[in-house]
Amino acid sequence: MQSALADAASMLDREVFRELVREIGEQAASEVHAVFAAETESRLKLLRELSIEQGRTKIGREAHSLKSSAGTFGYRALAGLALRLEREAARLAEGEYRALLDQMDAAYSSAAALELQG
Amino acid sequence: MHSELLVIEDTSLHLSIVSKIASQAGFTTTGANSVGEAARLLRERSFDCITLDLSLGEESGVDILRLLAEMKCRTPIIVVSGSGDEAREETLKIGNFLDLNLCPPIPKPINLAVLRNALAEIANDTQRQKLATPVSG
Repeated sequence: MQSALADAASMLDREVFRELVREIGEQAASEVHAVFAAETESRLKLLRELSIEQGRTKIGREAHSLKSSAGTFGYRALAGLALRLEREAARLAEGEYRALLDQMDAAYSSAAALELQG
Repeated sequence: MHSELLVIEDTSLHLSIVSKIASQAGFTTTGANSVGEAARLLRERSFDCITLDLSLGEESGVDILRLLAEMKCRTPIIVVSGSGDEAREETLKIGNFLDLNLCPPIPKPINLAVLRNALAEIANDTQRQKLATPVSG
């Protein structure tokens, strides 16, 4: 049970979104969360379409943006993986890049599912 | 009376968040998502504060600093960036060298209370200065 809670906390820091609600109100926080979801899904799709050999600079930039936005909503694991991609984009092999994208997709899906559970 | 903030940000998400926090701090905000758009706005209008992301897609926020230096701009600038500490410190050095009015940078993910307090302080200073300046004509 404790292990499951720890896993969940490593995926999603719920306090981050609560802080956003306290600062800008529930409605505004929901609005920016919708922007986050749309931007993140679009960015993860774009990363899938890029080849590491031909798009290292762009991949690094996209990872940089994803790191910041994921951190803003407490998506801890996704932010950590995006940071790794940003730092390693210049030297990853295609297979390593694809494996990292799989982890990022899974981290996003897990955190989003946890949010829905409330 | 609201103060005017220019938010230079290339992602809708952070533009939206900074704008909402700025609104609470007493600012009316205008967004620019590229160096070109920011340059056009800065030439057309005056602002009481600027927030600047260093990573603007394929462009760099440092280009904005150079433009502001050419304009001899003394508007307070807050760098809000997910770049590392080293990059933010380097930007601060460039800003000081260019004689710009750079405030302490704020890293991303943004500490919302820190940003709100920094903006509120600038808004208060701006309003005090405006009240102290006699209206001509």
